[in-house]
Amino acid sequence: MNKGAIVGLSIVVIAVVLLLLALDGAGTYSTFREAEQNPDKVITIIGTLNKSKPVVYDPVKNTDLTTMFVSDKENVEREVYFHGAKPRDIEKSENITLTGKMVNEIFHAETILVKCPSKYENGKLNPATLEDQQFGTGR
Amino acid sequence: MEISYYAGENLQFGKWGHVFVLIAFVFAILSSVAHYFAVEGPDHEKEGWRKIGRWSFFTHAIAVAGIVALLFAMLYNHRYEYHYVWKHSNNIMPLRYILSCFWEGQEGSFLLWTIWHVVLGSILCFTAKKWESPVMAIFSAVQVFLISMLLGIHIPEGPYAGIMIITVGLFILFLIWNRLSNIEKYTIGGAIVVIGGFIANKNIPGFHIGSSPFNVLTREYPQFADDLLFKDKDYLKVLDGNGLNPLLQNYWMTIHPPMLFLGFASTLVPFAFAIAGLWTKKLNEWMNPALPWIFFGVAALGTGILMGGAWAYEALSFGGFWAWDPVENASLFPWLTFVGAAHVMIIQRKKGKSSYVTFLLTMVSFLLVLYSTYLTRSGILGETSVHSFADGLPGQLLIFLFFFWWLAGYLVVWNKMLRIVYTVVSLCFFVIQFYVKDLKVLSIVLISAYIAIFVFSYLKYYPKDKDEKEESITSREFWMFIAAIMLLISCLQILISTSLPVVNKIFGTKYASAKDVFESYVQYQILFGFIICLLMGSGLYLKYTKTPGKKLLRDFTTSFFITSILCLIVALSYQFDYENSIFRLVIYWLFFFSAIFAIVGNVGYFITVLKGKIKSSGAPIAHLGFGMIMLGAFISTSQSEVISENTSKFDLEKASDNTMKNNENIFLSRGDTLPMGPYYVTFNKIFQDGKDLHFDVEYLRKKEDSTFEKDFTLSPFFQLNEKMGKVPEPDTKHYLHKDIYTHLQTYKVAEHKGLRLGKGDTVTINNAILYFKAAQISITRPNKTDSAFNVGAVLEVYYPGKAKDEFVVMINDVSGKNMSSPETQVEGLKAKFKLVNINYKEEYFEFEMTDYSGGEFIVMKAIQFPLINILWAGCIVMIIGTVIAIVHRTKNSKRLENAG
Repeated sequence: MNKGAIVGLSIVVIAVVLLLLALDGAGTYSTFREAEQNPDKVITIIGTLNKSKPVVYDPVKNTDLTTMFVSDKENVEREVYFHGAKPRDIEKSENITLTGKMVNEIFHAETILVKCPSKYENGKLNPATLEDQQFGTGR
Repeated sequence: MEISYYAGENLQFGKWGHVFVLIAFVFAILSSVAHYFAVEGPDHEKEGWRKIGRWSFFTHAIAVAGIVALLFAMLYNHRYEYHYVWKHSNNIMPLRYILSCFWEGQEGSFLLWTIWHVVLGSILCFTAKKWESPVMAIFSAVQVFLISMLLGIHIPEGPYAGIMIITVGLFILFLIWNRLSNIEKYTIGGAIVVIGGFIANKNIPGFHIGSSPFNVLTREYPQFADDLLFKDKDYLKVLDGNGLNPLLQNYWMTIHPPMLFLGFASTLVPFAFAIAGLWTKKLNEWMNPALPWIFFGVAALGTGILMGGAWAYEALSFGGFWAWDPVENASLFPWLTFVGAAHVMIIQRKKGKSSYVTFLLTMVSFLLVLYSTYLTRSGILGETSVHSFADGLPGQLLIFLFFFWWLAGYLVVWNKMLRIVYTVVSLCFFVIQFYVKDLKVLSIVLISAYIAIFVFSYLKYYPKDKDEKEESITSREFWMFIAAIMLLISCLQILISTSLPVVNKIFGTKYASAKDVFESYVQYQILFGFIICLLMGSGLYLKYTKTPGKKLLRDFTTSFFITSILCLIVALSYQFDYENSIFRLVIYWLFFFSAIFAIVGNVGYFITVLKGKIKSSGAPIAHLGFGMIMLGAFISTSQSEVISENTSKFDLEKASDNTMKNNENIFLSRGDTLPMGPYYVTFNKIFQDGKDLHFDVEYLRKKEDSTFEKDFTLSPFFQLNEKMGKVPEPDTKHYLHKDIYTHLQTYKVAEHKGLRLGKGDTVTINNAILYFKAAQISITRPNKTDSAFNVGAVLEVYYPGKAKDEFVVMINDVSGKNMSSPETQVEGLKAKFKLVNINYKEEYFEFEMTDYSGGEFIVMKAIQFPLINILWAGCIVMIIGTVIAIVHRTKNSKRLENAG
């Protein structure tokens, strides 16, 4: 067989292996229910912050603990302990992504990612609606 | 002329702007078409077409310059009637950030990219000589797509999109009419009509092509018309812009994007040459003019990426220079393949023959730039990136990507029949994806079909060199090829892991990127890096075609020996932090060894073989720089240490899971001194500089006699941005061998309040009652000539269930010259008072109260990055090396050109 073809095919094989490794290492976007069923597994959850309940960060007591209430895609709400300082703009968040595990009904998040509707734009007009209008069908 | 309802609007900018965009668009098409015919047309017409193409490109260039000038003028004059200006700038923003505003938005960044293409294209017009037409046809075609991002044309709901496709398709068909056989004419024509018909029939809802930076706020965005502000025809007098993202108000943001986009733009040059080579069937000659450009691109893109790292390190709160964030990764893919392409091209040019791999790596680099743009601009990253951009035009970007993917693939498939099959497969995919919801099967079929077509066409049709000899295992080219493949694999690993959101979109899966970057990226990249570093350290000692074994053995043993000694010294004096994982310990040592080997090997080569000759030392210097980057990056990240463990108070009750980090931030009250790592820290001074609220954190050392000695002061701050909240920015102490990075998480400072009290008034403060008991006046004589009037307010505090406090707040007036009002602190109330004014007419005193009952503190994180300067020094060394290589290669190319 041709040398070039061997190189080409081995690259394809390596790519497939890398893909499988990446998928194997990746977690899945999941729910609190699933986190409760698998207490030892690190799980990623996309949810929304319950803005009617307070986000508590009291650095006098603990500099690395922020507590809040988050509901996931199935609308299950759980208290979340984030092990870190309060993420900036969390009150304005549209949705948040948590990575961590469930311990005694409380989700302990190690990392947190905050998505804001239009993060840096709280002008007099709402640019979010504007973007939708502009590229409403391009998506 | 139309008279605006609104006062003070200048609509001329917008009108000219739209016109310039249209001119740039039309002339890009014309330039592309004309250059196409300068290649494909009948011989006697070629020169004429080339002239039309060239002048069209120049007209296009002038129009682009006009767009840029207008946008600058609008930003400079704060023309908030334009949406782009309103959204990205404001009145209080310093003028020096006007450039950052220019490319903050999506339209501006496409414009920046376009500008670089215009600059590079114009240079090529004069330097590419016989390659001008095929290369510029590609350049102009890319420009058509880029300018279309700025068009802002609305296609209404209905059959219009389909009709447009039929019109454009048939137009192109008639252009190439004479070159087609009868069957081809009717199949292609039929396909265009059928596909267009389908789309027209599908009744696609209205959409925009591109988004113009010249859109007027009150016109193009009708929903604002209801906003009260726009009922006022003088709205421009009160409207202020939205302002620039505070994170971007940084000098790095002024230089990082242009450099990065220059890098992106420069991948187009070798791509265009590769396409031109395939197109005109000159499979080998194209490498000569492309080679200096590929090195230029490697340097520009590398610098741009590293500047982004420096920006993140200096101004962002990532806590590092590289976070494996999807947006950062996206800029890295094309660089890796581009470096691979550069190396393969050196080998192949030496042989005077190009290979399939040279084409693939060169073309893939540009396609990866397009893919990166899609990833970062389409919003598909959504959940996983901290800075993916919300606004997007995914469809248009996908068409951009697929068109050039198709074109590159079409030319690589070296057979007419197979090319048609390939095109039909691509088109079918394009049409079917409109109709099916589930893209799973479709994409698997498509990918398999593509792989089958490419492999088959390569084996069966691609012209191969019959008398090519097996490369010797001791030849330099063999190992350079392996290095290029390693770079490609390294790129594939990052690409795949970063593309999980795309995988999710296609396959409907829910994969989330792995828990930490070590698992997703570092463990793989460290192994690829290990191999690449070993190759870098040894490759140059090898000779082309074959290396005599004896000499090779001697060179290698020397490098190996020196590296081992250095590693041994490190091993005896330093213990790697490997987080109790043997796997980490092993790969850390392997990588460390290989990085040192790369440095030693190249320094050795420079001294012993080149004898310090700078002219031809581009390769060893660039390799040395890259080795240093690897070493610095490895040590500063894997051995970085959070030194801000909380030593004040800690609520252990809530830390229920001890696998998680939970003491990375230190709580520091104003005036307290706490131990932190090897230091003691304290902060007293708080001051405001413009919008920035600074906290001077003093790092102290404890001396033997238990007194403290100041080591250095850092001043991290919060940018107090009215619209965007408080944005923290770190401060870093740079030593030669390490950096101490300090970042504030939050702060609390005393509140200042004004109080007006007349005699007998009461007010409640912190649950206690403050009572203005009496005013007093006294006269003293501080010296012989002056007399001082001292006016005081006698205040009483009643605490609930406790004894009351009484105190006096004074204002002193020495001979009407020196007014002073000392602060009086009331410990029980946790407040300070100052008398600032006395209103005699209305008989009240004005106090300024500083309420510190909430405490004054900061919460901060401090990280020590060891040896990060090796990384930055490596960057500079690598760039110097690459520049030397460019100069050397350009001279070589000219020599070869003259010789050939």
